[in-house]
Amino acid sequence: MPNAISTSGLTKSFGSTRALDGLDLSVKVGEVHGFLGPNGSGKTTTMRIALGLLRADAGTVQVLGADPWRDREHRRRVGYLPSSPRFYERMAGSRLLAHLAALGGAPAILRDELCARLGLSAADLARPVGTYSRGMRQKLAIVQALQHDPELCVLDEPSEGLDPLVQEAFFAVLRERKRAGRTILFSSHVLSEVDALCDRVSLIRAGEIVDTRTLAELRAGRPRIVRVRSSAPLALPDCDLLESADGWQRYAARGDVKVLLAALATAPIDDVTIEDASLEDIFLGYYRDAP
Amino acid sequence: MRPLLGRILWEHRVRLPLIGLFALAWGFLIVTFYAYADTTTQTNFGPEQIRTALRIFGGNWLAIWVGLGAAHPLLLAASCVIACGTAVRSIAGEIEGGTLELVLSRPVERTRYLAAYLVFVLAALAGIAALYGAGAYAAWLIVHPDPGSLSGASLARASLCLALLLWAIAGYSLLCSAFARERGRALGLATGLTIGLFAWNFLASLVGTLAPFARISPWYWFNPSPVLAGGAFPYGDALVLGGVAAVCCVAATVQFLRRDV
Repeated sequence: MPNAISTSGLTKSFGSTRALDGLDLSVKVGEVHGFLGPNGSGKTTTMRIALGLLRADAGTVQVLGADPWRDREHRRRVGYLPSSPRFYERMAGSRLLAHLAALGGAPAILRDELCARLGLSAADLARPVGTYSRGMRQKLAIVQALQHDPELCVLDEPSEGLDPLVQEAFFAVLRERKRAGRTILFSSHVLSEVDALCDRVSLIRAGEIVDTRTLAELRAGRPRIVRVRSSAPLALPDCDLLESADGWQRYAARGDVKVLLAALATAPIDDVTIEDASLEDIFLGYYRDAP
Repeated sequence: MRPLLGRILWEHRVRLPLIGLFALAWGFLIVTFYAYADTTTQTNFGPEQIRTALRIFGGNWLAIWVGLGAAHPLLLAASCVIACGTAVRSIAGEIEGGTLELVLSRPVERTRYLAAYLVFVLAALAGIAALYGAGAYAAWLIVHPDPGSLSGASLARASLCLALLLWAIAGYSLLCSAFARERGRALGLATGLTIGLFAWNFLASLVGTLAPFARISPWYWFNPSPVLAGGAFPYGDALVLGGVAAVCCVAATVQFLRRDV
């Protein structure tokens, strides 16, 4: 499957701060790709380089087969939602959407449907953007990014500020876009939405991709979480102690479950629970020991 | 470029007509006030050195008044809303406002984006200069002040001189914008330069030892009174002002094409 976005050895510094350090990322055509990492890890910088807003210091980047810094025609087929989007404040929402569509050079075939599904009424759109709440701005940002049904959607923390109902409507839109063969790259801190939407995820730390996997692969490799109530820490086989508080210890167990159960049967414990690790536990595992 | 120009025009839909109206009224008032002033007021104003300097250009006091009106800080301040304000907004303002990334993430060439702003700024400033001349000419036709004379052709040439001065201001303002990330910083620099260079030219005309250094100010190259009095068009001055505008615009474009947004 060809890549909608591919970067190789991407490096970018801002003064003495190195934002990206040899980043290799590939987003396949037709997939929903989650881009995860802590604040300041380089997610937004990567996206902005992919859009031609920033120029990489070194490395290569291809977006829909084009060099985003030099070429511009491919941008007709790209939709971008920046984090904390800002607009022309005195412009009415409808005028702004029409203006951005005119700049994009592609008809806004999804605008009305998106406005209806996200709850942006005609009265809302008639008002200046400066009067919008945080949530309404985010809805407007989503509509402007998707209104021309782009082949590639680059969404930087798209669900920020949306209430749960609108979030669900937005996720449904993204699932439909994926079924229609569109590619979506989105960054998020909300792991539940990654779990709900993504085919693959890339984890970025300090400007480098530390892992790229399908969610199935992540789930297959995830540890069990063992919570034990005991007066003293235990030496359980193939288990890492995650935390210890109020007489309870949490372990990440990766080994054979029969060996674990045998060890628990003879250990001085008062209570025990065993459950699958959440995605949060998996992701935190990547960053817990980060410098 | 049309959607970009349309949006810029829409943003100035109130501001630009107001400034234009002010320029028209200012030109009209200068001539009208001159017409109803007595001879002493007409010919006796400002420091002696300034009066002496102005007399060199000939005894057409009406031309001197209209020339001074063109260089007056009030008209300058109104024009700088566009010359400094809009030029600074084009890059630093839109970066700070977060709107430039929305525009440039679409298939909009950076040169076209900047060209839209340049077309607007240059045309608007030319319009302001022309309206000032038109106001003065309208007053001349209506009140026929005495002594002195004005002609439509000389006013048109003087308006072109004023437009060139304003373009030079817009040029270095755009350059400030191209190198800045924050609108406030760019605007402060452009405004400070404008006020400083204006004051410098004034000071240099008062203090003889500073006179050779007046050339660094655009106002040194702006002398509409001789043109208004029927003199030849100052091609050398126009070349300097036009050159400053052109060089600054080219440098700003080069910087904008290279920079991150």
